[in-house]
Amino acid sequence: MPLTMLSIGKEAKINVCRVADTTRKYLEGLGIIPGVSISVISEISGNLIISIKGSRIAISQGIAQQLMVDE
Amino acid sequence: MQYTFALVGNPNSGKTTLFNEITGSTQHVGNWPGVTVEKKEGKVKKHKENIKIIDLPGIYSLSPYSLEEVLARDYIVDQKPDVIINIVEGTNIERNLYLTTQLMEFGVPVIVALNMMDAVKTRGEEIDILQLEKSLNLPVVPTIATKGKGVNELIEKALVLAQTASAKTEEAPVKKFDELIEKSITQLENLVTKELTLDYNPRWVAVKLLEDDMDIKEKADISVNLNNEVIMCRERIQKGYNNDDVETVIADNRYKFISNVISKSVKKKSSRTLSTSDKIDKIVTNRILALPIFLAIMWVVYYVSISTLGDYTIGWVEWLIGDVIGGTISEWLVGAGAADWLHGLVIDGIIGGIGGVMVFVPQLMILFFFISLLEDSGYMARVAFIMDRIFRKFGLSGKSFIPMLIGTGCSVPGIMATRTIENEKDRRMTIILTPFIPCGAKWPVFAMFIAAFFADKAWIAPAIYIIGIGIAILSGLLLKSTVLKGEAAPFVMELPEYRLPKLKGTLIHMWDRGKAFMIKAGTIIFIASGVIWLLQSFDASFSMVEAENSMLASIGRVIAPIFSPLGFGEWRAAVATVTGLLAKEVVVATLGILHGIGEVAEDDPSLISSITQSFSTLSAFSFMIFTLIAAPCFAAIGAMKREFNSWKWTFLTLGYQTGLAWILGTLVFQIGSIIGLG
Repeated sequence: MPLTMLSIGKEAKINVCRVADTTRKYLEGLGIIPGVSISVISEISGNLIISIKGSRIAISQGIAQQLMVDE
Repeated sequence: MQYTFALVGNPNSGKTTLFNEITGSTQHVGNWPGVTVEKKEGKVKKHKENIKIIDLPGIYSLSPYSLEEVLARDYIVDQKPDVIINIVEGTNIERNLYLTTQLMEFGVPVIVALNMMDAVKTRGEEIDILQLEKSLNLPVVPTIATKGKGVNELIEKALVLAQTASAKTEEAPVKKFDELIEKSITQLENLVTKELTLDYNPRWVAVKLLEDDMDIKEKADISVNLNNEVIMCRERIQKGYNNDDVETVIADNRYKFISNVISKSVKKKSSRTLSTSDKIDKIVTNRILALPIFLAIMWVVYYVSISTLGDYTIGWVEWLIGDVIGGTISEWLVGAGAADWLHGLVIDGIIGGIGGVMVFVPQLMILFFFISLLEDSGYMARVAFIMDRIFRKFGLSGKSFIPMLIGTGCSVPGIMATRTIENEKDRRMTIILTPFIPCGAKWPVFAMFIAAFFADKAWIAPAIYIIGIGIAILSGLLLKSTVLKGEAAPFVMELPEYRLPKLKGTLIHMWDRGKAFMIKAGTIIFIASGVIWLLQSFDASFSMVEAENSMLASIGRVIAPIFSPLGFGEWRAAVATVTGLLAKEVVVATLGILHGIGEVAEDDPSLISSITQSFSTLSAFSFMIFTLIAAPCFAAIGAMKREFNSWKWTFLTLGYQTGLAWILGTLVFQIGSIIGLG
């Protein structure tokens, strides 16, 4: 399911990252790659603050929709 | 012998703090990713060797995404520092080591500064330094940059590394990747060594080629043979990994290597509780509360800086400059028997001109103090997140908000802050729109006109702000559907942990920004005031005349007709719009001098009464609108040129801004006249 469906506070694993090329490389640098645990801290009209590898990252709804996760 | 050390690390990992510690300078440190937007140089203080330190912008990886990442990478690749000091945030070691795994490939000696060790301890974590050194095969020095701990040791070790680097025989690189990838790397490396003449590390080039890095493909002239080999290797890896994308496989390999390193050297406390920072975020970025909290904070900031504390300081500065300094100098000049013209030049020209500007410095300082506080605490990054959805509606991302907010103080740092915006289109748009947000230097102009014409209308000051923001929004929509088409880039931004700002840091930061205004008052405005006074006191044959017959009046009358449709086609007003290009505060100084009063304050009764001779209420309003929207000062234009890196875009922007200002000013005056205002 897309990350947008994950409820706040629950942990999941990234499965597939469907984001386009350059942005994906940037996400990789931030630790957002398949196999990594991820959880959602808060949400404002679709934009998310996520917790990954100990850091907090704000991502837009567009990216969250392209990140597939498994609970 | 001179050595060059480059500081490289993730954004917000404490590089600039470390840089300041090493060099003894006071560079601006903030708590949002991307504070260092250009590289800074310094020298190691109190050291027998001549060591240059380069502070590079923070980067997450060496696959450049934003302009600052390109800057950092190009520096390392092309300039080849003697040592790379890689700052690794101890509390976020896993993510930070990703960059380290890439730095290791350059062939430049790397030393790791494991920073924020105090925070690591507070969290109850432990890092085995020796083990970490062994697994990474790099020297590691624990540091606490904010307290200066470990800094000397770091420099000493880095120096040893630099001095022994050339003597060292090539070591076998640490194996970070699995067999399949290592095999491909070795294969490509051999070919690269044979074929390429570039002064790059072949192994690094090999890895970059595997990652399909566009930049390296452009720089290195890749032969058909090598290119085929790259394609073959990529296909082989893809097959071996169930058709997974090669870049992802390599990134995954790097993270696996890191996990391995971490598992051996870091003892983590596996607590799943929310940190204090998360708890603050729960409230501050709450979907319902976020916007009201933000608006409340901004209201307090402006209310305190402009209305309460700020207003109180104005009278104080007026007294200091007008009565104390001006009075003393005037007495002294009279006592020394100075000529009338000299007395006029000094008192009416220079002190009058500078005074009109200086009264706003305390207000600006207070505003800068608050903006610094917002940055240093970590809230600024959240603001970008909160504003993203709103900004997206007119084609910008939330990241454009920070430059605009800084722009309320001064457009120059605002325009420079656009570097953190990765997307070229978003960046251009933000540079074009930021000057519409009224900067601190425009306050004196508005304040003067408000005092003269709108003293009983409290709504006019906020209205000017709202008009500025409205123009920015409408221009955003216009640009989005014309020259800068397309949606804003997806928003991704690391949010730093909230930190209690240190008073010293915030004050330094405030001072850095405020200083520029004072320097401006002492240089540009000083000279401009003098020159304007001279031009308005003499005619072309250099005999002293009434302002009406002066050189400046002749010049002013030539350009005045341009502004007739806006209602201020009077030569003094026309001159003021032009001198405003030097610095917006000069508008006040100009009008002050031209109305023949060496007065320091924009709300002085005699200035106000004589200004009403040049303007009507309506033309005053159209003048304010023109000042608000027209081309910014030369300093901001210079910043624009640097950031656009194009004269074409700079002139287009200036043309758009000034053209729009003229049209709106005309509309205000003409429509206002028809419906009988003013």
